[in-house]
Amino acid sequence: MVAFVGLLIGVILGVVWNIDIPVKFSPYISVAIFACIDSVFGAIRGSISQNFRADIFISGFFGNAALAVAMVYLGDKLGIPIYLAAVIVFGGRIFNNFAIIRRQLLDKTKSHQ
Amino acid sequence: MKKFKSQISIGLICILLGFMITYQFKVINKQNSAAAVDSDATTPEIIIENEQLKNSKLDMQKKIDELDAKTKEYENAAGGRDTASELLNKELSETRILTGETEVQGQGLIIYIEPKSDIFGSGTLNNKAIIDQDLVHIVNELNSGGAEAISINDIRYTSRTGIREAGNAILINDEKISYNDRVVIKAIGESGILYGAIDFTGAIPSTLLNSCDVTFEKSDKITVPKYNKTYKFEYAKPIVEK
Repeated sequence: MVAFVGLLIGVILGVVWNIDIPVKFSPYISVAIFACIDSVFGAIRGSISQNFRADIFISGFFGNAALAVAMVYLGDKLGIPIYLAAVIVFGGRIFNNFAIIRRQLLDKTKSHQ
Repeated sequence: MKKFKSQISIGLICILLGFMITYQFKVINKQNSAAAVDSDATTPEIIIENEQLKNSKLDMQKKIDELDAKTKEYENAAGGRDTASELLNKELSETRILTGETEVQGQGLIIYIEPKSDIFGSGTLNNKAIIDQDLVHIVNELNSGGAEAISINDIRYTSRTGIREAGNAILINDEKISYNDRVVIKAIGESGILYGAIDFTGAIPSTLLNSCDVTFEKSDKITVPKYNKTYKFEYAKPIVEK
């Protein structure tokens, strides 16, 4: 619930607030968003399996994002697209987490019947 | 209390995430629309200019046709006077056919070169389905087969026509042919011989066969348009025998 309210506020902020971040940071933000979505999925999974810890979530959220951004930067400097590694890992984890969430939700609904 | 704190932190992070996603959406959209506006801003001018040039070309073509009709009248008037001038007139019209200055009609062969559609959509810009050499080769075969008049996409091939790549198109008589569009080659001549010449293995380059569907058919009535430019001889002068 809190998450959805937060998301909504964030979206509204993004629409209304006309802050100017230089365009060259655009790829960094893209990868950071991916990392953050990964963290959020991890959090959802954690909360469903009752072992959610806020500190892990927060540190993961910022840590993953920072690491992903660092990878983009490094890849940019070295001339190899290292950010692909981040994208693949995060993408894989998102699907993984989603699979676990799905299973647990299905199990829950079954046990309720 | 701990629960409350974690809830707040999750809320804050979601705010951040939502903001980042929307912001990124906005930036990407802006970039796309900026790119679209850029191309929009430049294309209309080119299109308008192209349109104007086309119109002026049509006008000029009309004038040329009028003048041609007038010269024909004069020629006929002069040709009617006696047999000598009539012979001259006949020779003149034959020379006209040779130089491509009149529209001609007759039996012959039509070749259609249709670039194969690129299924994977890869490299369509760099991939040239038709290259100048292919056209040169085919025209050469047709000439060997005794073609009397040849046109490529209704551009008359004359003795002074070059077929060559220039920039992003093939240039024939200063007119452009795309690498990736359908090309129609018409040749007037004895259709059986022309058909045989083109049907012969190797007459059409294998590279062209790989990139294009090439079909050809005999036809009893082919019209080959005339050459639109005037010949100029600045350097070649006839030798006067004494």
